[in-house]
Amino acid sequence: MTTLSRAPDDATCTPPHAPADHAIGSDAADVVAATLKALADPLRLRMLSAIATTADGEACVCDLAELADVSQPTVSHHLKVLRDVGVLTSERRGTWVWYRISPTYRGAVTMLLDRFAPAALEHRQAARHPGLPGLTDVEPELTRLAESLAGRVPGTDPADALRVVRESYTALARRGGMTVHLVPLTEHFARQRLVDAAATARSRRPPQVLFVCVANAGRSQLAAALLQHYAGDRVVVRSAGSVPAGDVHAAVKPFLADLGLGPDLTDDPSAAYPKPLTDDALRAADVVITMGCGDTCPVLPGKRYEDWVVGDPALASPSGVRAIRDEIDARVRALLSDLLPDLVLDRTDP
Amino acid sequence: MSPAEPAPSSRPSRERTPALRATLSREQAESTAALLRVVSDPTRLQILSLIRTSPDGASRVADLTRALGLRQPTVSHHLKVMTEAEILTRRPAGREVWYMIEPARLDAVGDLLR
Repeated sequence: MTTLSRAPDDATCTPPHAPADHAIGSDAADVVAATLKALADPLRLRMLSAIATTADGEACVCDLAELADVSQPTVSHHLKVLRDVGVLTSERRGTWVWYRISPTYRGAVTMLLDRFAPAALEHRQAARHPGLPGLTDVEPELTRLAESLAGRVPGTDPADALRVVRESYTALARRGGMTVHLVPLTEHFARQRLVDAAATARSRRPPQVLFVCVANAGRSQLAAALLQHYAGDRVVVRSAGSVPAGDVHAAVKPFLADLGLGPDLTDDPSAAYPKPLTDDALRAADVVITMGCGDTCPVLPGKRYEDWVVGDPALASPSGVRAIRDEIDARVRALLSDLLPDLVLDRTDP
Repeated sequence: MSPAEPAPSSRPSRERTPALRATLSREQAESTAALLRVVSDPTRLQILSLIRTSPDGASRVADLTRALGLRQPTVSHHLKVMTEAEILTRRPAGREVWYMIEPARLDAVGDLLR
């Protein structure tokens, strides 16, 4: 053992260099200790992390109060402690005080949050899970992780978080390699996936559905009106015809009126009217539904196509038109449950 | 603050660009704070620094008392607290005990003392 070679008698032990030459001096130790003491509080660390992770690198008291359900005076007190040791700087603009990480501490804070904090937790978890944690052992850990991530990644559903955490863990475990770090790795990987998913959800516009038939006078009008009725502004609905008729079928108009569409374009701009099928309507649509009338649409990549084979109201009896309407209604509901799984439809509506 | 920055919005609850990193979790914050509480003491920092800069990364109580000019019980107390917090490990060698920084903590302690 190498240490023994430099362990002569206590009385004659003089290290090659006086250790104090290399070690931190007592004045510096006082300053560093005071700073670390100010940082040694979970809430302050989370505030620091919240400030460090905002896109513009600053936050105000109001932003931080949301973090931990504490009052603004409490938040202000903690921020003052961090400001007094020089970790934060503040600036009053208008009625609010904005806090940022002071430039001299930016590197140290990044190190603390990105390296020290994960290492502190990893060490604790490794101690808790010596050896190889199986999926059964780790389940409570994953559940806790999912809850924590759901709280930390805005716009994340707790059930989604748990699913993503479990998937991530399994995928990483299958990959082999270091198993001691699986939970921290899972956290990192799952967090990335949830942040990505949330970013996609934010940038996602409502799905656009285009109903196409020949005349755009009956089936596609009914389908569009029903979908709009159920989905409101959560779906963009369009309808068009390859050879649009002059007006909507008289037999269909009462059903459209039931859905709140005006009878005539001249006195109600919400009234339905047959429209020609255009290239841009097709391109803009995410889902294109042809109504069993033999239309052929150019098939563009990345879209979903369906063909709903339903009868033509123009040829049907009054009760037949009602049956066609109900058939379209059932298909629209099915489509919606697929497009917007969280939308609850009133069974008796309309 | 550079004057070139765009005029700040007066509304504090303005729509923010979402951060690309998630913030520290409660658990991470707690474990980090616990560790910082232990090391946020001038004497303990000096002890860590002395051990870290010693030739083999290991020191005995006597080395530390001499370097710090402190009494042996004081140094032993600090060593005990840091050993319990798993920041230091003890390695008995014959009649002596050598203290080293827990290998898993070495980077973390190094970051703090940099």
